[in-house]
Amino acid sequence: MLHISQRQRLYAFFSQLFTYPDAELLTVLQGESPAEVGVLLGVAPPASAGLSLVALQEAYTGLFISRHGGVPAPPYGSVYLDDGVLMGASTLKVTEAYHAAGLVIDGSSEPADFLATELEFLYFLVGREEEGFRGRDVAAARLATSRQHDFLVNSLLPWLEPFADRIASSDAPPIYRWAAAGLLAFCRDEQSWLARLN
Amino acid sequence: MSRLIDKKLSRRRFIGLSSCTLATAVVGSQVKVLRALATSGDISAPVAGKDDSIFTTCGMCVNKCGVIARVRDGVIRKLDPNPHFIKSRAMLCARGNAGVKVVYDPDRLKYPLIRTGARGEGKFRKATWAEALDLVAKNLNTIADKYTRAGVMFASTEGTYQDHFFNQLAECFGSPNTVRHPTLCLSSNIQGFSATFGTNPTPDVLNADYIIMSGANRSEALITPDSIDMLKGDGGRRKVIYLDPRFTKTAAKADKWFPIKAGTDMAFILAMINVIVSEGLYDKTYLQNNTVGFDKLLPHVASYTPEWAQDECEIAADDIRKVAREFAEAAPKAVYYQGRRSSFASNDTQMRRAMAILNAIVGNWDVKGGMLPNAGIKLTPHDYLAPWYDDVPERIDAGSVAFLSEKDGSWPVVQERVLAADPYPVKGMMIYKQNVLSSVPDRAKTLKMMDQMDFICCIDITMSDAAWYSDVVLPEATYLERQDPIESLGGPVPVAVFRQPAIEAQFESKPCLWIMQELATRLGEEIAETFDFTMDEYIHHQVKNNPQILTDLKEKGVYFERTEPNYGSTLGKRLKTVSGKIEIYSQRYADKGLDPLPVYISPTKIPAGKYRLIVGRHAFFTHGTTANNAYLHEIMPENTLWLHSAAAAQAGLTHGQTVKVRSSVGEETLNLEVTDKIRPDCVYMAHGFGVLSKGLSNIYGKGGCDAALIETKYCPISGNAAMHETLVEVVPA
Repeated sequence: MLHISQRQRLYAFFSQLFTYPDAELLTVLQGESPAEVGVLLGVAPPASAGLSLVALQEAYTGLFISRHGGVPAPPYGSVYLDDGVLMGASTLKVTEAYHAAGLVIDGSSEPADFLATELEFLYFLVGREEEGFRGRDVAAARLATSRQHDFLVNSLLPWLEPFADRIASSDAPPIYRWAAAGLLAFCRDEQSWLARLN
Repeated sequence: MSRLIDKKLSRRRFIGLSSCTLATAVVGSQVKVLRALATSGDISAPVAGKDDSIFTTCGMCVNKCGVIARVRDGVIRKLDPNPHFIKSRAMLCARGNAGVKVVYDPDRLKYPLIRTGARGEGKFRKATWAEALDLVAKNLNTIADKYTRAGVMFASTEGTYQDHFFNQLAECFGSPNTVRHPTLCLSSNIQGFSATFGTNPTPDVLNADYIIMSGANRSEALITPDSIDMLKGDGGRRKVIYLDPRFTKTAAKADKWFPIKAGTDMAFILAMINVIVSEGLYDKTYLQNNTVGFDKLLPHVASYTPEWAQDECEIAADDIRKVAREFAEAAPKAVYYQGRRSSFASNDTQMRRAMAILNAIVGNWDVKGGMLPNAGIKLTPHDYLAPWYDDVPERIDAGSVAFLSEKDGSWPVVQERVLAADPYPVKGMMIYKQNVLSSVPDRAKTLKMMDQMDFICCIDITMSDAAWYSDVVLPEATYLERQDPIESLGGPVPVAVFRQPAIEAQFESKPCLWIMQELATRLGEEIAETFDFTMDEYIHHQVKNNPQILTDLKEKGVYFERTEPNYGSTLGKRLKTVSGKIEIYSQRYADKGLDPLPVYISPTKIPAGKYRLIVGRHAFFTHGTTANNAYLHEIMPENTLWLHSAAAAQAGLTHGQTVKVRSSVGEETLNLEVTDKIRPDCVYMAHGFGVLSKGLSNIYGKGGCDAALIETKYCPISGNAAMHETLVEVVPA
């Protein structure tokens, strides 16, 4: 089995990668992390040499905020699940899932179904799972895995697939193409074993 | 990568790797992961936002109709018409309904952006507000130091109610070069009618028995309440006569449609005047008491006979005579409706003068069913003392036309003079929601003008073409997310309106006032002082002499003092003309060396193989601002080029074929619509397509842009652009 901390760290890695790039992300990308994740995913990351913060920010802006060619891959679930709009019914479901786990949006101007935030939520749930196991509270751990499964099935995976397709068919730089495909594969795999677990 | 997607990820790989390694290697142990989420521990409180119904006004077009925003779970689900809103007859159109899409459009601007690539290349990065505003202020000050404060021009939209704050910043910054929409729209109407009546009056469409509209396509270019009232009328007496080279929706609704030759409306009007005066179909006593110069009109129109006009406008002399007699018979409940956009030809002001004179001689001024003076709701203005700067020259377009609006300028002239740096350079551009690359004629020239700017900042809600070519793009909150000040919408039945936020502003968008205040702070203390108020204080100041306005706005979404026009309020009183009377003959024009009575000028003859390009609006869209709206886009995905079947056959062109339309300044490619709904000597395309900005993902690459084809020509009296004087050829693409 994949270790809990590995899963948690993968969610953290992807959440950070799909957040607007800052110096911290550049440091991560220029370190060992992408290679390590590459080993886990079975596909090596693209070369990070020559990555610059400005180039990353330009690419992120062009892919996800405003760009030449329209925003090809808006990183919001409802755009894929609710007929192209922000703040659709699916966004409310996501907010409810956060709320049920005792979480609120705080310190972000993004809608609840922003990709990085959804991954952050899964990171949090894996943390709860880990705490449960550590404290020998099986019920808490099971609740956390059950929530992960439900969230992946109902909220994230249904749009992660078309999202990854859009990244694949866009002119996204290699790092985002690698990350989108890798994230999708990882989430599918998570869903699969969580289904068996639950 | 496909390898990974195709196969199942092996969990065994994970096992083989030390979790301890991952824990530190993958993200680093110090990384803060919970950025957006925080633990509240409270799972009992409701998760969603409130349910509410908020009175506000529409921001989708110029009409500003009353709206109730229905908010469910903190999200705007629907927009309904406000039943109290008399100006729009309690109606909300398709565009108004589609407003929800503006707020929740993934293509909306979300964060301040700073250009990183070459201008127009499309590379931006996200910035903090502080960084973006610092950059704007720094550039404005640098340009001011180098070129004087006139070196920055300010182009503004209208109708956000916060445009006043943008214009206030321009004034306090010290630039005389403010430019607004009127010269792309109605400035010749304002000039021509004001020269006659002292104001640009409103036709009493609801009560008129006889309405003549030329080129005012009210069933598609919607103006409330006229578009609704036009179809009402009093019993069976209402008659609508419509003149247009195109068979529009208004033509379909009219009692009679005349496919007039484009640019000859004045011939029709002068011939009508000729019939009315030569047959004595006017009230002599009324004219003697209320007008000046009628005696000079008689000889002036003597040669403008229906037979002469027939050759000009290709409408039978008998028809002109009949319309003139019916018009005079129905008077005073008869109006020659001036429309709104009057940017047709370079003699447009004189054509509008002719319209005004025709209305005047049948005595329809300020009577039921006639032409009515406008009133407003009195609000207490926000006074401020703009700083004084010694070295600022006059407007760059000063002296270019006979009657230049000091605040609005003339867009065609500004474009030409900025490009030529004549008489001085303008190197900075502040744009507030005016998509200048879509609305100003000769887009190539506008692009050149922008290219030579040292700095361009655009405030908008979408990545418009203008935003695309800017250096800093600032996201404004949409009209459904803002508290806007109170605005008086003038007219025979004036109303006061405002906007309330239905929801909080999404992402990091901000209202214009906030942006202006932040900029003012960075531009200097004197400028900042003029913005030392909150929106709440501003609104309370507006109503300090009449608090009922705010009470009604909160309770009903609209304030008005009467439901019927106050007919006859100006009768027997001085009008705002030099003589105090209706000026058929304009001494003011004569003093300026202009024709004191409208003199007809024949439009340029169209050579074989060419067509006159005419432009117009659709009920689905507002100028260039709404075509990317997904709901509206679905109704009309792209524009086409209309060409008459006979002309198409002669040119060997077929329906649906992709064609190139070429003028002296540009070439556009779009699909041909072969139709008999247009004269054979004209072609037509709807406005708002053929955009440059790929940020408008629904419409990029769809249809053609009229502004790319229209040559820079303008009326020498009002400075109004002449949008129907461009001749084009059409060839297979």
